[in-house]
Amino acid sequence: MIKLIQTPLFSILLTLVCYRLGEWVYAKSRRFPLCHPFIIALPPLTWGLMQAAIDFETYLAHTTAIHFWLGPATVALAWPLYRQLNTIGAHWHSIAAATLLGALIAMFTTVGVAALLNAPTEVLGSLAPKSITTPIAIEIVKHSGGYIALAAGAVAFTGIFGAVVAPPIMTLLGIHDPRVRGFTLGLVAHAIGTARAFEESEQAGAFASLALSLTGITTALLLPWLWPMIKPVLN
Amino acid sequence: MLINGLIIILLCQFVGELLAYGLGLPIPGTIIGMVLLLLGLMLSQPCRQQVEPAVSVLIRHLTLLFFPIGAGLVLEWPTFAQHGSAIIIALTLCTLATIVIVAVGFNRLLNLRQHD
Repeated sequence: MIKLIQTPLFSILLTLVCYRLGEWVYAKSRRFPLCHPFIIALPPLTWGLMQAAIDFETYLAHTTAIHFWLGPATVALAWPLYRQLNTIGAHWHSIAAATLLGALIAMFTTVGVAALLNAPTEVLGSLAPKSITTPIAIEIVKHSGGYIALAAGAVAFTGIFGAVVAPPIMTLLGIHDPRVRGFTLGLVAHAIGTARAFEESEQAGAFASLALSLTGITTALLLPWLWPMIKPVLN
Repeated sequence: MLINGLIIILLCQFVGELLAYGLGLPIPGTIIGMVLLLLGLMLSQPCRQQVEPAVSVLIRHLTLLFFPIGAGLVLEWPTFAQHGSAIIIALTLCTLATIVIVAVGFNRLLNLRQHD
């Protein structure tokens, strides 16, 4: 029995069941960010793994068949970007400037604040890509030598938190332009923010998808070059 | 169709990794793969048709794909616990700051251009 539980079969089965449960709750809650599958599925999964005495390293090895596809999924993100290419149109100057500004601020403010609070370099490296979609963030962290688990968690936290607070903040600031609301949601809160933007309007959703892809690519292109320069300053 | 799409995607990733490794670029190979696929999509109608089913499956279930890694946040928490408050404060503050700056900045930029 113990032998059967400590196999990829059990780990993958448990993962799929918990994910399905999370997906179901998320759909039932009409895609409310706090009911994101990541939040719902995490407790039963970790409880199950602890009961089965499967540690993280073993679990990761068991589920290679699942997380292997993160790399191809990153490549596949070319699709939403392609679909939004004509959204860019005449606004490409503003979009490029806002993407660069947003990507840099999202990266450096987080790293800066965490550094002031004395977090070690590995933690800082894991937090830097917090605003971008998980597959890209994980690829970057593998390069900058952070903790992939912390990076994935930071991305999920930022996405959920950003998707909850961004719409009321923008309303408070008097920003009602669906292009700006969508773009901000996609830039700060990646896929979770994009789902939220599509609830506001089709146009907000299109700008969110665009911001999600562009911020991901910009961060992926900049961070590996910038990180070696920033790292010595932080210590 | 699904298999054709997966072949195209994996091929882009493979060439991307090859270029990143061969040229010693610090950029992840998957990102180069993404740019290659984007070029393919822009240039070729058959590529778009073949790739769509595979792409939609991968993107629809992104959460499932990173879920095993995300579980490490709980399972490995003792490693991060001592920095827990720094992590949460940094993420919260900076997410708020980014929202305000990007929303106000992009709003200005778009409206500036409209007044041109």
